[in-house]
Amino acid sequence: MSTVAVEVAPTLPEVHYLNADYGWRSWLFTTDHKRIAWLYLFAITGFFAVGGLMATLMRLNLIEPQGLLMEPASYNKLFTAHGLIMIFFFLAPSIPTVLGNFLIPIMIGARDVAFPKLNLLSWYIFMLAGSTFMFSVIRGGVDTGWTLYTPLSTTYANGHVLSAAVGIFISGFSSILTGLNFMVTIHKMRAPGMTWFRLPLFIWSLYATSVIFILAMPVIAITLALIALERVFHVGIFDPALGGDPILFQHLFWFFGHPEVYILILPSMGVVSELVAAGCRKRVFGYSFVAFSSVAIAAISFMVWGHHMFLTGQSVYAGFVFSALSFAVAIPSAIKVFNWTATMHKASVSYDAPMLYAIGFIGLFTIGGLTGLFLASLGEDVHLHDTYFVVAHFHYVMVGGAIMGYLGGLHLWWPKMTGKLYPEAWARFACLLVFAGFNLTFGPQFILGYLGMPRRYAVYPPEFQVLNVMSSAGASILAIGYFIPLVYFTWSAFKGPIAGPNPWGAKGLEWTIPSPPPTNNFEETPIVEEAYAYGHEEAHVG
Amino acid sequence: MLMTTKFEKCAWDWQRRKGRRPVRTVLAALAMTAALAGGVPGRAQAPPASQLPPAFRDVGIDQKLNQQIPLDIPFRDENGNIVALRDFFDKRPVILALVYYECPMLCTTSLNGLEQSMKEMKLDLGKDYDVVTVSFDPTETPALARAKKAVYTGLYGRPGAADAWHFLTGDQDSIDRLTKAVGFRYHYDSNIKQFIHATGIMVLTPEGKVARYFYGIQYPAGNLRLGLVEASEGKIGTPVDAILLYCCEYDPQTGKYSLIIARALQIGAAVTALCLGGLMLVMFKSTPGRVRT
Repeated sequence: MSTVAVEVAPTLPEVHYLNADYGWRSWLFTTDHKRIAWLYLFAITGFFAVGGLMATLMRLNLIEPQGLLMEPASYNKLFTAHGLIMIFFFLAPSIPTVLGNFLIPIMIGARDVAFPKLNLLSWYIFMLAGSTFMFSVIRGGVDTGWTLYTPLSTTYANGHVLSAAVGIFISGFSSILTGLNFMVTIHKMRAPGMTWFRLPLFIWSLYATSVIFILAMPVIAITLALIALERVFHVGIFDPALGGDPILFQHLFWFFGHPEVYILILPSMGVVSELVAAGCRKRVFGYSFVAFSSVAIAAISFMVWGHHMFLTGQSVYAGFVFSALSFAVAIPSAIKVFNWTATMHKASVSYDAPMLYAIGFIGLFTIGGLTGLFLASLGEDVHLHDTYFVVAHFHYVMVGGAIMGYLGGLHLWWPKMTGKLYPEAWARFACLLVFAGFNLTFGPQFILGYLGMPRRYAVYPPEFQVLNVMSSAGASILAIGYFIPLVYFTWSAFKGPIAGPNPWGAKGLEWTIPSPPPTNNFEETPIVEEAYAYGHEEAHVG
Repeated sequence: MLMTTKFEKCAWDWQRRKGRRPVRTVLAALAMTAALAGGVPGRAQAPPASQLPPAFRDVGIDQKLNQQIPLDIPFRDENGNIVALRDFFDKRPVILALVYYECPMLCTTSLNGLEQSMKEMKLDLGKDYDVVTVSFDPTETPALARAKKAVYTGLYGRPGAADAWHFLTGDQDSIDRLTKAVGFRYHYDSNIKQFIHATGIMVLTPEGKVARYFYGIQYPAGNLRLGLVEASEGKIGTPVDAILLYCCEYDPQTGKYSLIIARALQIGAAVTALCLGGLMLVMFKSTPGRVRT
């Protein structure tokens, strides 16, 4: 195999997974988990850009109380598409399919996932799903909100609900197959010595996520199939006139929908555990508690769906139970937050970009989590239900939490994925912009919601304008904060300085192999003796 | 309401009904519309009672589910003997058909429909259930009843039918008490010299409580069977019926058995969870030995 002579790179391996093969076939028909991770990275970056653009337009519209840009009908379609794209085509796949695909086999000492072809198939299914969904958006979109509540999505549907639903339906299968693949990989492919309690915490959280994928995704698929059954064949399922029950839809949707939230946040928590360990050069405090809290969150996540339905015809006793269980989720979440913080205690904390993202995550997720408790309270929820308080709360969890984790992870493992370094100063600057822009965007929304501004409205009373303009200004800062990494990552991939195998001085199998790794990951099967083996040597290589 | 969301029908008898639909439509058009015959109460499409022609106002079937009918009402059997309803209630559920024997329209069709379903069912008349047919025309005689009985038990054709399918007649007072107890409203139109009435049959428990209503002129065997099995409280039927009844539920609005969506989903969820749990169990048990160093 001929390689171009690269003079500047003494530490760059001659042959690695990126240059082992060339041509579009070598990418589109690859079964290498690392290349599939790249396929996902490109796809979801595209979806993130589209979803982000929609958010930008929405915030632009809300600068004026009567709406700056568009008719309310267009606004409805915009927030629906924004929600669906971000949740199903960016957040849910983001960490599992990009970082998970790249890292799971390497972190457990395997050469690939258990079912490499299935892994590629999952990507194609995902692309088919995304194209189908975008097709419905281009044809005119859906105006039901991402929750697709009946009868708005059935009897009174204006938009292309069916094609949108088909897109989401298909995407579920991609997630299910990915989850199955990861589960079997984690069970069966571990290297000698890689016992359960020597697994990186990232693996624990992705294992829990995989279980949720497999259990929750079929529910949304079936629910959407039932909508199709009712719309096409007029079988009474959700429509009372046909003998159906519209509340059933909400039960089904949220039985999927709440675990979905943990699909988004659990992988991010796993990433943060790795970021904190690498940034503090320390084993995460209370390893087994952090590991089991992932499992606990996954389990409880299936028993809290009713807290979305306190005001929609649910028995008050069920409300009590759902409220109490929702409070219970705070316990494993808090265990994680406290343990990360405890890890930082008396550690030599680096303030490189990955660690900054981790610190940002901990702060924002804490705010997002605590405001969730407001909404889990039966009385308080009456006031806050369907207001901007809810919007702010879940954006703190999903953007402040999940995306911060995803970006942090990208920054930590970018040198591993590409073998190149990015400009650290720019990275820190972008992280600070994201943090500031995020808080400016969603902080005022807590107040707006508390004052009574309902979500999903294209117009609002003039007295809310100041807070809305603040929020829109924050959104534009946030957009710049997200754009900068796109630029320097692209630059770094081509012209960045060579990273070397372990630029962070971090522990873990992925740091023991060259960057970028060879196609087979490990020349020899590694033997694992300890997890997070910090403290045995002067770690920081630099 | 949550747990009662459902398909219109269980799939197995939906298939059959599809084939029958044209027949139904023709008959319905002939006979004062099946909608009225169906007498489905409270349907959104039906016009309010005040807009109905006067002749139809007092016609319908009001559901009296779970109500005990008086078993001491006297009637005459086919041989002219005085009997009480109690004589027909003991250990088996009872199908009650309210008709009049000289009805030129729906009653014959309805009895034919009943007879057809009974023939389709594996359940045996006389062994698993009884049928009581009562004329609501007080002028009809046991002789007429005898003739009808001969026709229908002959059509049914299985042995023992004569002892279990009863054709009764009675005076106005008895008829009033029975029709009121089961919610059957009808009246006599002297212009056309016919009774205006709805059609439907009822399934009663062995104790004489109203268990199920089935509307119209055809009673799909699958539905009727489930109705009888439920009314018998487990005394008849097979384990398959028990499973079907777990997944299907009687809908008083339509008078049909239909799939409980929520139940189907519960079963699907349980199967999914079991499969995943099983997979995890297998994988935990067979962790590669090389990991355990």
